[in-house]
Amino acid sequence: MHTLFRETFELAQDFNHAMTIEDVYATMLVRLARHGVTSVLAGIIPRTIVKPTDQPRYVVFGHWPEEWATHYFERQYVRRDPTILHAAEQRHPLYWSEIDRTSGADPAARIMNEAQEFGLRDGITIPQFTLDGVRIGVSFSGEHIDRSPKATMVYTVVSSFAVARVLQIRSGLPDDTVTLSPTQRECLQYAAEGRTMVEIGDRLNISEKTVEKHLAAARERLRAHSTTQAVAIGIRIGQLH
Amino acid sequence: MLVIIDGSNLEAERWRLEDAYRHRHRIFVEEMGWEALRRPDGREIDRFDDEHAVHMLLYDGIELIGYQRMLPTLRPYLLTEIYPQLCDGEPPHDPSVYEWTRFAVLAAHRGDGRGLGRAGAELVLGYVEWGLSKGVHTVVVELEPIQTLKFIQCGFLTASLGIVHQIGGRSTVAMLAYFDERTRAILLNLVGRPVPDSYSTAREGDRDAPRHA
Repeated sequence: MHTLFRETFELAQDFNHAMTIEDVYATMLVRLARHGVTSVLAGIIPRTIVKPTDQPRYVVFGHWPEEWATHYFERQYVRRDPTILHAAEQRHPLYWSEIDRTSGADPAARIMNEAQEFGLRDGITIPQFTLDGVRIGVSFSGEHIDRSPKATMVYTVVSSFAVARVLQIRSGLPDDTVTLSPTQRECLQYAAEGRTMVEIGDRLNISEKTVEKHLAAARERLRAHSTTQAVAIGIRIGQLH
Repeated sequence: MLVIIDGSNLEAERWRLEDAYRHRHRIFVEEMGWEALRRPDGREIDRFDDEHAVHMLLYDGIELIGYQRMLPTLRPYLLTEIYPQLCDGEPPHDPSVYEWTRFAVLAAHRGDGRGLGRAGAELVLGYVEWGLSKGVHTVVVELEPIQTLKFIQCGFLTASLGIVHQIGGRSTVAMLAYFDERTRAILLNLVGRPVPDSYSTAREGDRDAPRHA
């Protein structure tokens, strides 16, 4: 039983250590390279029509080739893109190889074929629901990606960890006016440097238990689920260095 | 308020359990159309509803608004008897693993039905706290892959037991979901309850490795 969770445990650790959205993106690519994935895009699927100028804001993370992105938003492809339509309506992943591209006149086929010219040849789009009921579509792409059932589960789990972490990073930022008490800041600073509770206690002349109390209070103020996240937020808002 | 009914209080809570069977029928048969479960007496009850099942009933005042059933994996359960094709290897048979089944919240308390509403979070927290007190740290669940993200956001570690199959027109996968104190803390935050001081997310923000079965 333990070994079954080993891989997701390591995945969880990897993503928990990602401090920025770029970190999350890099972690994903490392994990998915062996399956042929070279680029990733994740976006919120809106419930209503979105103005073209607002559409790029729905991207949660990832990069498409810049020329393709420009072309795509200019032509409002989001309305006809079969991968977006799938992510908006379906509850299972879609492999791009399953999309019918034979009819040149069909806008869906045209979009997929044009994407190929920009290097987005093969791929998969995975719909997900967040805890808040937001629909997310995550697409992985490459020259040729692994389409085995096992790979499909890997894509589902990796995309879930990535989206969860990005959402945490994005929403975990409290108001810039939040401050830590001097002792909370010191404890968190030492934790950021990799000190153990015992070492921190020694340096500050307090018990390990008291150190933990201060760290818990710091997490509470920064609305962090973990000390690692508290460190990230603390650095981000200039309370730590 | 969460009421837990198992072998130890089955007789005393017999009337609540009847409410639960009717609640299940309203949701799974009448609302979701699982016709195979329909019964003329309006009670959705099956052979797994014996003295080993653990029923959890969520009340809002006197109204039953949510329900779920935990089945021990040491005895036959849904994955082994109804959906064996979902499991590639040996299905779990372990006192620390229970199957999470018949999760049902009344439509009016479901929020938008896409996310995990307050009632849903109370139920999940319910089995997590029950599990942590009983040495149960993993659930088996058959679900659509689109729900995976919610588990991970709640702090579960997931592992699939097999590949995706189409069952009743839906993509379905059997999954193991491991939980611990971190999961409990996240769920407490979700339902707006204080996280106890004694809780610390394992040193330096990393969680402990999953316990051996």
